[in-house]
Formats: sequence, C-alpha cells, structure tokens
Amino acid sequence: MIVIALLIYLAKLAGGFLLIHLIWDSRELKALILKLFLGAGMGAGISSTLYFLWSWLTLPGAIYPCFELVVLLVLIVMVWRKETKENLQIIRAQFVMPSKRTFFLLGLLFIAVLICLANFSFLARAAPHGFYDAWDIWNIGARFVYLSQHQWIGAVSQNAWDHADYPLLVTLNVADTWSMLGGDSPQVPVAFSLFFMLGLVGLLFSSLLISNDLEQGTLVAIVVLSLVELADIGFFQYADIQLAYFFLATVTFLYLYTVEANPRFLFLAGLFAGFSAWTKNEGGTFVVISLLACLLLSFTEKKNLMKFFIPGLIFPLITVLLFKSIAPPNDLFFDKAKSFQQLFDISRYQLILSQLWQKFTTFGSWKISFLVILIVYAIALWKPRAVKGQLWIPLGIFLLQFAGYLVIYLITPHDLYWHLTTSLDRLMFQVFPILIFWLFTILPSPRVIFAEKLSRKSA
Amino acid sequence: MFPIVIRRIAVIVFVALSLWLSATNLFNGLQSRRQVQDDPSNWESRLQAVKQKLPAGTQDVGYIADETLRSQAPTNGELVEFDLTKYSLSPVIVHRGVKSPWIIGNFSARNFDGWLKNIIGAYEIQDLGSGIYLIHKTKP
Repeated sequence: MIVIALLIYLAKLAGGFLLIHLIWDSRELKALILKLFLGAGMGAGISSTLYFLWSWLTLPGAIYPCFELVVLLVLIVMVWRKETKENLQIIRAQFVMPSKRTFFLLGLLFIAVLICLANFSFLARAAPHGFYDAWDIWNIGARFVYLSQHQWIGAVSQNAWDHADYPLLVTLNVADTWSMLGGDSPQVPVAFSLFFMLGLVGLLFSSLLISNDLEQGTLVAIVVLSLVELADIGFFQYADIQLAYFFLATVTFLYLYTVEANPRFLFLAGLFAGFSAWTKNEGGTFVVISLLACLLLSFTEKKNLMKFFIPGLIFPLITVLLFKSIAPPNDLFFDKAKSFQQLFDISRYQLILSQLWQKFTTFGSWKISFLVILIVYAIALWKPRAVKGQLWIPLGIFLLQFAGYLVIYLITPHDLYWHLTTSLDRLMFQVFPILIFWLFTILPSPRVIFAEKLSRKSA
Repeated sequence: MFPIVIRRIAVIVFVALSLWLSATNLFNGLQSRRQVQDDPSNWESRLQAVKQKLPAGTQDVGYIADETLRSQAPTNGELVEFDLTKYSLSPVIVHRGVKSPWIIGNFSARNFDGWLKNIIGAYEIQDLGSGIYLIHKTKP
C-alpha cells in the first residue's frame, strides 16, 4: 500500500514538475534537478487547492481523481509539444562525469538516505497513525473529508476535530489518495510524510546545487539527514516538514531572482509562499514577511516587483481565505487585551530565552549541539566567496519569521512553558533550512577547499 | 582565515560526524520504537464494537466519562482518551455531553447509572467491555 501511495505522490510530483517547467522553461541541468524537487510541493499544493475548490463547489468527489488525471495528461501534452529533440540534446550535452571525490560524496549521501529511510520505516511501523497532532488534527480531518464526502465542510464549521481552523494541504493530499485507493489506510499519511521528508532534503540539495555547487548540496544533504528532528517530525507525521519545504522553496526563488532577474521566479515565489499559508497558520506570517521582502527588493531594484509576486500568491491565498471563511476562529487570539498585557511581562521573556537556549544547545540531538558545531564549522571555513545574489533575503526572512514566533509565545493564551516545550523545536526546524541555505551559499564548498590545496601544490 | 589543512579536516570531520550520527539515530530508533505506544490502533480496537452498533447515518454522538461524573477538568490522560474517541469514530462528530440520542460512555467502574438516569431519564445501555458503554436515550 505504501508503495502505491508513493507512486500516486510521484505522479503529483510529475505534474508539479511539468507545471513549473511550463512557467520556468530553463533546460539547464541544475535547474531541471531543482524543478524536479520543487515538483513535490507544486503537485501537492495544486492538487489540494483544486480539491478544496472542487468540494466547495459541491462537485462529485468520486470524479475528482479523474479530473486530476486529466490535468496531468494536459500538462504532459503541453510540455511534449513544447520540447523538441534539440532541447533533449541540449540537456544530454550538459552531463559531465563528476570527479572521484564528488562520486564518493554522492555515495555517502546514498548511504545517509538509506539509513534515514531505515530509521523512518522502523519508527513508522511502531506508530502507524503518527503522533498526537497527526491523528488529532491532520489525519482525522482527512477521514472526515474521505468518509463524509461533502459534509466535511460543515464538520469544519462545527469544529469537529481539534484545530479545525488549520489549513488543509496535508489533510486533502491524504484524503485525495485515500479516494484513489478506495480505503483509509494509515500507510497513506506515512507515505505522504516520507515523500516530503525526502522532498525537503532534495530541495536543500538542489537549491544549493544552484546557489553554490554539487558538492555543497551533497554535503548539506548528508548533514541534514543526520538530524534526529528530520526523522522524528517525519514519522510523527507533523506538517512542519511540509511547511519548512514551502518556506525554503519561496526563499530559493526570491534569492534566485537577485541572481538572474527573471520575473517568473517571483511568480513562483508567490505561489510557494501561498502554499505555506495553505499548510499551517505560521505560513500566514511567512506570506507577510515574503511580501515585505519583495517590497524591499522593489525599492532596491527600483522596479515594481509586486506585480509578479502577487499573481503567484493570489490563487492559494484565495483558497486559504475561502477556507478561513468557514473555519472556526484560531485559539491564539481569543483575549486580545490579555495578550497585549503579556507583551510587558518580563518573566515571559526570561522563560522564552531560557527555553530557546535549552533548544539551541540540544538541537539535532548531537552530543554537542548541532548549532554549535555548525558555528565552529562556519568559522573554520569562513572565507566569503563572491556571491552574485543578495543574501540579506534568506537571512532577513529567517530572522523575521523567527521573531514572529517569539511574539506568538509572548501573547499566547496557553500555558507558556507547555507551549514552548511542545512546539519550539518544531518551529526551529521550520526555519532551519532557510538558515542552512543562507550559510552554505556563502561558505566555500568541499570542491573549492580541495581545489585550493591542489592549486597550491601545482604552484 | 584558517590554514587549508584545518579547513579540509573540518569538512571531513563534519561529513564523518554526520554519518556516524545517522547510524546512531538508527540504533536509537531501533531501541526507542519498542517504547512507542500505538494508542490510536489500540483505541480503535476498543471502539470497534461501538462503530458496528451505531446505526448507519449517525452524524454525532455524545461523550461522557469519569471526569463528567467528577465535574472537574479532565486530566491529560482523559483528554487523550476523548481525542482518541473522536479520531476512532470519525466521521461521526463526538462532543462532550448528553445532547445527542447516542452517547459513548468511557468509565473505569459502573457507578454512573443513578447519575445518568437523573440527567437523561430513560435510556438503554450496552456494555461493550473495557469500560466502554453505548447509551441510547429512549426519550428525546
């Protein structure tokens, strides 16, 4: 069952890849690899937004998988008509035999992927329904969608499950696959989680392949696969992996725009930012911060770039707004006066900082904090290379998004200690790939470091 | 800037450490999976009889438990049991209280009949085992 579910998600990835290729038709090998991993998010994002609109219009749910198949076939035909034999030859001509060191690193990456897969599968077998939030929020929602058909929209309004106001990207992708398979097997959400876990690692790999080089992308993928948070959040089936993915995809396109001023990158950035708001409520803050980044970029470039970013954002954002019009209110903003008073409570700042320090020192569950090792590594290798793009974008978005999280902790109506201990590590994980992308875009790659030694020898 | 040898060692150590930690995670995962409780599967088995006995088309059911009798806020464990009930019975909507014609009872002991009669009057009850009861109000 898990293999069939993965094949369905791969079909969505294929559709997402083709759609991105129609928007951004670069045939550069690096761009194609990036587009392949972006296909996962695009496929899942488009599929779930269309599914929501389909249900909103009370169209028969049983036909929806056929509609998705038709969309996929249309995309295949459109790309088929666009691509010529010459284009394929252009792609083939770019294949260059990697060096022995690159091969060796890729081999190590393969081993790291296998270990991570083994760890994930052992843990997922022990808890096939995932952890608390998975069955209490995402999978229960998927059951309502799949088992009650159109009545699920009414169930959202009735707050039929906990946090029924949380957006539906994960929920609808699971329900959609259950519809195709004709049963609500718990292995489907397991497959979806695995699909995005590998998608996130692949996106980091391919975004650094473009912003730096192949060896840097490979190194980072090996490192990220070693983080216990990745496998844990993966087998917990929490939506933080999907959210981290959409944050990184948005930042990658905003950064790529500063490297190569292609307005289509901004359209895609807007689309992926919108999908983040369709994944979790934290995505709403991210949309605002991304808009701000695009606005600042407009000022620095002295061009109106919002006219490219907003059209990308608009489709997922309309879906989110339609959903929010029927969803119950969020539990964080019930007592605004009390929340405002909490902003001036020094003890809350102290507790947040102490928990932040505690998570900082234990992140990654390495013997020494992974973040400390990362800092040591960055200092050891620090030699900023000439980077064409504007790196304030990933760093600024990372800092603002994280600051937004800290404000939420200040105003939360829940017990602060409970709220911090149950979510801070996941929130850190959501923005962590952006930080990694920024840092490893600046740092020299293994290829550069080993080449430096060789050039000295030859000199 | 550090000498090239240090930089090269840093890369090698970073990669080696990552792989070693991946392997450690795998080992720890094998150990910890024995401690992982599959509560949803267990709870679904516990509520299987309820699912079978609820009439087709039932859209919502009530839920009462030990904490209802105590008139106190539920403990964490009791909250989990309520959420597991919602998950197991979905897409039937489960809400606390006795407003619905069908009610799930989740009690550690059968000491609630007098209380229930006072609250809802006439009812039929089926003891489904493991402290789970299916209650049907015979008077609306």
